[in-house]
Amino acid sequence: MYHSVSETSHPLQTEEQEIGIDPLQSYLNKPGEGGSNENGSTHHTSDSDGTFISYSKEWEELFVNNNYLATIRLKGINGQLRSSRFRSVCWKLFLEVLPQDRSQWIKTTSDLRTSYNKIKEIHITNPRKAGQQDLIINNPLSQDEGSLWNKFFQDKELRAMIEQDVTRTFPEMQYFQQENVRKILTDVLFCYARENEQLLYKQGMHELLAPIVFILHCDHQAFSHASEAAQPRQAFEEMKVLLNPEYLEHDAYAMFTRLMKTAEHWFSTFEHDSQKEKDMMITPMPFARPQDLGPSIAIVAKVNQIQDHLLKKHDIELYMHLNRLEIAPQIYGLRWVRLLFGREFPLQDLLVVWDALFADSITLNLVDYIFVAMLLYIRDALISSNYQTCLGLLMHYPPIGDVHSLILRALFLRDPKRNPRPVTHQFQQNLDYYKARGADLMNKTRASAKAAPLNINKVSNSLLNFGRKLIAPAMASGGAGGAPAGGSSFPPPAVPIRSAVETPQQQHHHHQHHHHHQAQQQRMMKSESMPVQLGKGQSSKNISSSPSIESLSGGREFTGSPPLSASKKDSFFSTISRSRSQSKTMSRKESEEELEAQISFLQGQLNDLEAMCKYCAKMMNTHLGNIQEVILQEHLEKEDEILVSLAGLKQIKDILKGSLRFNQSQLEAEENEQITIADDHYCSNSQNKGTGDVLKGPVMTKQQFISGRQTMTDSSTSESKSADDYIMVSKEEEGSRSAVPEPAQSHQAHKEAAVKPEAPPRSSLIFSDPLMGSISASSSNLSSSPDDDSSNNSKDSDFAIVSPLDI
Amino acid sequence: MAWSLGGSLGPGWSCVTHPWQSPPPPEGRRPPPQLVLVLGDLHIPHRCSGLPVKFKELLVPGKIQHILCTGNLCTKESYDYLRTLAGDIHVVRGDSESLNYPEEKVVTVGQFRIGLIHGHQVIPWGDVASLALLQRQLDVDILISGHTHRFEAFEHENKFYINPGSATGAYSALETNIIPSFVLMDIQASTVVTYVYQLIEDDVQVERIEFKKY
Repeated sequence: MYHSVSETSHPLQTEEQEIGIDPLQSYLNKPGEGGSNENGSTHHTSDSDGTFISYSKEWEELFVNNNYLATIRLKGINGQLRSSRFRSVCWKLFLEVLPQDRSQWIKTTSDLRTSYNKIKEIHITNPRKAGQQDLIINNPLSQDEGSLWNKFFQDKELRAMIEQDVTRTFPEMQYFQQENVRKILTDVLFCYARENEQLLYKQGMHELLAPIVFILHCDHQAFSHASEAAQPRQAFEEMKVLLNPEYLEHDAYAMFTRLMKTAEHWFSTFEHDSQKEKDMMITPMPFARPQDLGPSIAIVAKVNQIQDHLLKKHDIELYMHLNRLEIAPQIYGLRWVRLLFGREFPLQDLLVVWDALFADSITLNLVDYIFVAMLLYIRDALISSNYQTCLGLLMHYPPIGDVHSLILRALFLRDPKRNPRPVTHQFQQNLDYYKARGADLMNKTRASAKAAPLNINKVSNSLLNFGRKLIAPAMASGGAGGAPAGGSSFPPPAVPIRSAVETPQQQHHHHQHHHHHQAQQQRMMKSESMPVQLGKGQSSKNISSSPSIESLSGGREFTGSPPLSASKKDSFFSTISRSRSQSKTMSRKESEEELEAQISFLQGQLNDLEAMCKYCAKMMNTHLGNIQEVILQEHLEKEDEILVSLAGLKQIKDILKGSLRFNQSQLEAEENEQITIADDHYCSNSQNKGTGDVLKGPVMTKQQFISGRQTMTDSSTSESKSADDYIMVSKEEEGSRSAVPEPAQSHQAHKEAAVKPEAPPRSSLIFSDPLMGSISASSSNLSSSPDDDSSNNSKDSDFAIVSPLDI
Repeated sequence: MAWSLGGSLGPGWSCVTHPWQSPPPPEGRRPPPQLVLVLGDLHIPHRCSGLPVKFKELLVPGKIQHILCTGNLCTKESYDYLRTLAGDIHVVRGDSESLNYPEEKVVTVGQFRIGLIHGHQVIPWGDVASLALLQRQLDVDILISGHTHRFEAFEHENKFYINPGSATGAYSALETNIIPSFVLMDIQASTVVTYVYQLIEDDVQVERIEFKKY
């Protein structure tokens, strides 16, 4: 209620209370927010009595009841302390600086304050004071341990280091630019460092101390404001003692030390397992991730553990992605944990996070879960990003609108049973900014980072491992044999394969004609059913890769899609393959930094394009399906032609999706009328057919093309299109069983194109990878529509992969 | 705030502290100690090969703010060495100097005006009255001179006169048995505490003299 009625005599007269309100003021006097409500109606800044009433009411609500500790803990977790004016007292309680017993508060506080005074006296020395000491010892140049001067100079160095950090604390806030505040920070940190000689001062401690000082200051302000015009009240005395601004430094010191008791091992650079050093130097783990090398320090172990266990448990895809990009969690995690996310959130949000952290437990174990929650928030952006953008995202964490949701998520992650499942928000934003930030960081690290090529082999191997792990090990046990795993149903994703299957993978694929290998590979590949989209015009690259272990990736041109639902997983896989083939290429050329950056950039672009194609393919699929159904029901006259066109459209869809290989030779096929088909091509096929899983030599790139035909089988069986048009189809089956690809590729071009790949059977052998054969073997089952199973089964194992999405 | 990446372990934060920058006040109100090193007559390499080892151990960078040198360093190498000890160095020309320095200098440190001269210009060498004449001429509170290779520190007519002697113990024209010595002044407000370091029989002896500028 405004009392200024009498003063508004003319419109230009300034209203009261409307000018230049100090933002701190408004923060402190926010009415009605949070759990501890003042009486909003009577609250007005000019009504001082009312202020004090509301102030003391808040005090009473918070602290004057039984079980107040649980109450404020709850409030803290729920973010209701955001505008509380007794936040510092709450924090003191959380940090156990104040005992639970209220009557002890005053005594404890004064004890702590005097002890800080003593500490200060001891450590902050004046070298000239001691006049009695022996001059030999106590002269300014003396380096004697007992010399006060010596101590003075050592202190000077430590102080300078602390000061350097203090001046950089919260540069955006005016409060921290004040000299006295900086001095307070420096003194507290200095005393802490002197009291804890084994840890001394480490960069980052200042960020932990700054918010503490800030909230103390805020509370003092609130108190002084409230007490300006108030009558002394009962609880006043207690408040007065607790919120005495003279002792800001002492209270800050007490809270800080208590906090550091938990946080100190994050700052410690003490290396465990020092005896392992020798071993490590002799036999470093081959292909170790960057985070696994180096001495084990507590904080590093902690962030590694967060990533390797927690993140893996909750989001294996993101975990794999970060691993693949070799983003060691220390890069960003060290800062997150050490500063308790101090630089990731704006100050007010940060205070809310800390409310929850402290309220939850003094051991701060909610930190792990908040860490994971933060990662999950940007997971989509991370997964679709390259190294550069990921770095940018992680190092410059995007602002979150509602930090409370993050806390809820963290709580849910920790204890799904007892906490409500929060609504999942995802970060969606233009990533270019982060790409640029990432580029800055990358350039900085390039100087010190290892050369890229070092990672290439790691990438390829990690990729292999990853691929293996990701796909079902339905045939895991049958590592050696040749039983066609074709019969195995499409494996459920994300089941780790046993190492039995791994061994064949390790062997070089020079011996590609080794059926044994191939069988295993096929099985594995099939089981991988990697949608590795090497397609889309990268054949040239693959051709160039020499037959070696790389040929596995180089030749990985099959184009099946994963059975996973989310499209982003598709893009995820494809980025893997793409990075592999790219990494091979990189190793061919100089691994210049610019090339690497370019490649990442291109990769990002490819990702985008691919996502687009996938989407188009999906939509096309849906619509085509609809059209097809309707057409079939209608029983029109010229059904055939319509269906043929539909089949063409489906082919296009497959190309978009990637299950059909689209390469230049396809274009050429149109011009090429004359197709030569090697006879033995067919024969060998027919021979091999029986074995099912054996690699069909002439499995060509075009084979997916054929399989593409097959995908159209879903509507096909009813149609009696001329299978004979399909020589390709009969490539395996000598035309007979081609009951399948009826839907009529009577397109001459198709036929030719389909036939064409026969032409260079041998040459493409190298890079038509066994995968294709194997995949086709399996995919035959997969590719066919459910109702076509039997017919398809008979057909062929050779057909290339078909997207299971069609099923 | 700049957080830079480096190394495999994570951020490598650089904390570069320049030791010879003057530190901020320890308690915010008291000025930091201003340490001034006074020495001279090194005569390196003509008469001596270098500073005594024990002196060198004492003289580490980072502690001293100013250096006043009475001259006769003789070479640039000595000058460079002194430069590494402190940022602010003042040298005056001696009689066997090879480099070009001013004949005399006046420096203000804290509340004190300090005059610096080599001393071969003052005749008779080391005579109090002549030095007093020079002090009046320069109007300084403390007059530092050298050339006699003999340590002196006395108060005369309320002014302070310091002769740091020879830091290397080089022989002088009149005396061959010289004790190496130098002087360190701790200037606070209006008090100067002078520490004299002498190398007597291979041991460093320290003495302390106080001078107040009323």
